[in-house]
Amino acid sequence: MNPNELIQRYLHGEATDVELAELDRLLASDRDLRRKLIAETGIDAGLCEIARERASQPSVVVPRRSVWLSWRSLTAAAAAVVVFGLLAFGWARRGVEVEVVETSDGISGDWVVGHKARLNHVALVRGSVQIRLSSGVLLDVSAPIEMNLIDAMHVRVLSGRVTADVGEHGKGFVIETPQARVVDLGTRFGVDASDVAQTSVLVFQGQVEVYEKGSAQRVALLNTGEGLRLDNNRRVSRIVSVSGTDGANGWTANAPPASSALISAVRDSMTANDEAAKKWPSLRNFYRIVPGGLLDGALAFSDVADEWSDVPAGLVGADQVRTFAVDGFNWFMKLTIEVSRPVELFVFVDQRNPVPEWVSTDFTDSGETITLNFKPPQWQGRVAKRLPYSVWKRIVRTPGEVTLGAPYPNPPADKKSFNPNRMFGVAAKALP
Amino acid sequence: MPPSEPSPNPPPALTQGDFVRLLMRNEPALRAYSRSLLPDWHLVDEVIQEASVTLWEKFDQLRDEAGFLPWAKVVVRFKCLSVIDRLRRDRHVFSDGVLELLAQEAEVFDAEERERSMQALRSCLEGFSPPHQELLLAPYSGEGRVTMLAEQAGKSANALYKLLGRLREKLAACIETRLQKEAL
Repeated sequence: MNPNELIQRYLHGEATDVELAELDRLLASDRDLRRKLIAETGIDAGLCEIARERASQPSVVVPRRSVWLSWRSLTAAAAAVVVFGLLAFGWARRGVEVEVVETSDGISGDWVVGHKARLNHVALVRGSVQIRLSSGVLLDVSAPIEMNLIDAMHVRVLSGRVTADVGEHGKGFVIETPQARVVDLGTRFGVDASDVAQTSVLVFQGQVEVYEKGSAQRVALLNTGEGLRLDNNRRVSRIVSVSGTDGANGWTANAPPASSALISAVRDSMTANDEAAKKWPSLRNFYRIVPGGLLDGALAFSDVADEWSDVPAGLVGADQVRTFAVDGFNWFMKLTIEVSRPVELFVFVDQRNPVPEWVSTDFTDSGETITLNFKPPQWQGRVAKRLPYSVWKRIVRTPGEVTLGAPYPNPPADKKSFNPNRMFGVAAKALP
Repeated sequence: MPPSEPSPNPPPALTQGDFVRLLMRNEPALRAYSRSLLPDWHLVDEVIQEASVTLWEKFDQLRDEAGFLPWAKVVVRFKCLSVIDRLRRDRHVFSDGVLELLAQEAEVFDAEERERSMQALRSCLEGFSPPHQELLLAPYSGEGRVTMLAEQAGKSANALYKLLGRLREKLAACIETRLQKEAL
C-alpha cells in the first residue's frame, strides 16, 4: 500500500495495527510525508467544518406550483395593502427573480405561494412573506419594511426587519442598511433597521461579517448566538437579549416581548452599566427569550446546538431563556431576569458540578430532572452525551427582577471534576 | 530640567471576555492541531474540552493576545500526549518519536496560515461536481454515509473509498497549487 493510502486509512480510522506500524516507520524518516500528514489533517479539519456548516443549513420545501404573476395581478398588487414596488417599465427584464415560498394570514392575495416575479423593490405594510431569490437565499420579510433588491446576492434594507437563510450557493450574500453592510459566510441571520438611527444584526446560525456602511473596515465577525447594534455615530453596542419564537421572522431585538410573555427582559452583569460594558468590549452573545419554548428538542442555548429532552410534564410549554454556553466559563456573573407577573421560576443545574450556593439558598430542588443532549460541533448534529440536569424551582409572587448567580461556585477547588462546558437553563411558568 | 525618559506603558491586562473570544477564534486551529496527533475526532473533542479548562486556569500567565495560539498549542499538545498514553494500553498508536516530530512541525502553522488554507479548501471544493463534493464530505456527515452513497450509486463501498482517495488527492493538489500561487 502506498504512503498516501496509508494516510487516508489512518485518517478514516481504518488502518490496521500493521498498517499503523508501517506508517509510523515511514513518518519517522520522511519529513515530506509528515508534512503531508499534517496537511491532510488540516484538510480533514476543514472538510469537517464545511460538512458541519452544510448540515446546519435547514432544508426548505420547494413549492410545487410555480406560476408567473400576470401583469394584471401585478397592477392589482400595486393597489393592494401589500405593495410589490415594481418598476412599471421593463419589470420582466430588470429586477431580481423572486419566488414566494410562504405567506402569513392577512397578506394580499397577490402574494401566492409558488408565484414568481422580477422585483427590485419590496414594501410591506401588513403581514409577512418568505421569498426565495434566484441565488437560493431565503428572506423572511415582515411589515413594516421597505427594501431594494440590488441583485440576487445583494439587498438594501431601507427600513424594517429581515431574516436571511443563506443556502449553499448564497455565501457572500450582502444586506445593507443605512448604518451597516452585513456579509454572510453561510448562515441564518437577522437584520433590523426599523429604527432609523441604528441597525441590529443577530446571527442565529453560522457566521457573518459586519462592516460600517461605505467602509472596508470590518466592525466584527459574528458567530452563532452573537449580535450587535451599530448606530449613526458608528458606536457599537451589545444586544443583550432577543425575544420571540423560532419561527421565520419571530424575533425582536428592539421591542419588549409580547405582553403575554412571562419573562420581559434578561441582562447580565457584564453590560449592566457603562463601566461593566467597557470591561467586556468583545462580548457579543445574546440571551434569547422564547415564550412557550420549552419542549422536547428545544435548543438549550443561543450559541450551540445542544437541546433539552425529557422535559418534565409540568414544564412543557414553559417560557424559556436560552443562555449562552460560553458563559459556562464564567463564575463571576450575575444574571438578572425580569418577570412580568407572578411565576414559578426554574433553573436547570448540571448534576456533574456542585450546586451553586445561590441555587441551594434561593431555590428548592424539585426532585425532577431534564436532560441536556450535548452536541459538540464535531459530532455532526449527533448527541455525544446525555447530561442530567436537576430542576430547581422558586415562587416569585411579585413581578420584578430576580438575580441569579454564576453556573459554578468560585473557582472550583476540585478542578478534576469541573465541567465548564455548559451553562444553566432558565424557564418560567405562570402561577395559577 | 532634564528630559525624562518616556515610561513604557504596560499592555492592558487581558479580561475574561478576551479569553472567551480568543478561545472561540482559535478553536478551529487547535482542533486541526490536535487532529494531527490524535487518531479520531472524538478524542479531539475530549482534549479540547480538557485543554479549555487548563487554559482558563492559567490565563493570567498570558501577556498578550498574539501569544494565545502558541501557548494554547503547548497545552493542547500535553493533553494529546496524555490521551495517547492512555490509548497505548489497548491500541496501536504512533511512537513517541513520531508524535514529537509531528507536534513540532504542526506547531508552526499560525491562525492566518490556517485561514488561508481554509479559503483555498473552500474554493477548491467548489470546483468539484456536486456528487463529488458530497462524497468528499461524506466521512464527516455521519457514520455509514459513504456506504449509503455506495448503495445509492449501486457500487461497492470499497470502490467508493478508492474514488474518495483519488478525490482527496486531487483536492490536496488543488489547495497546494492555490497556496503556492498566493505566495508568489
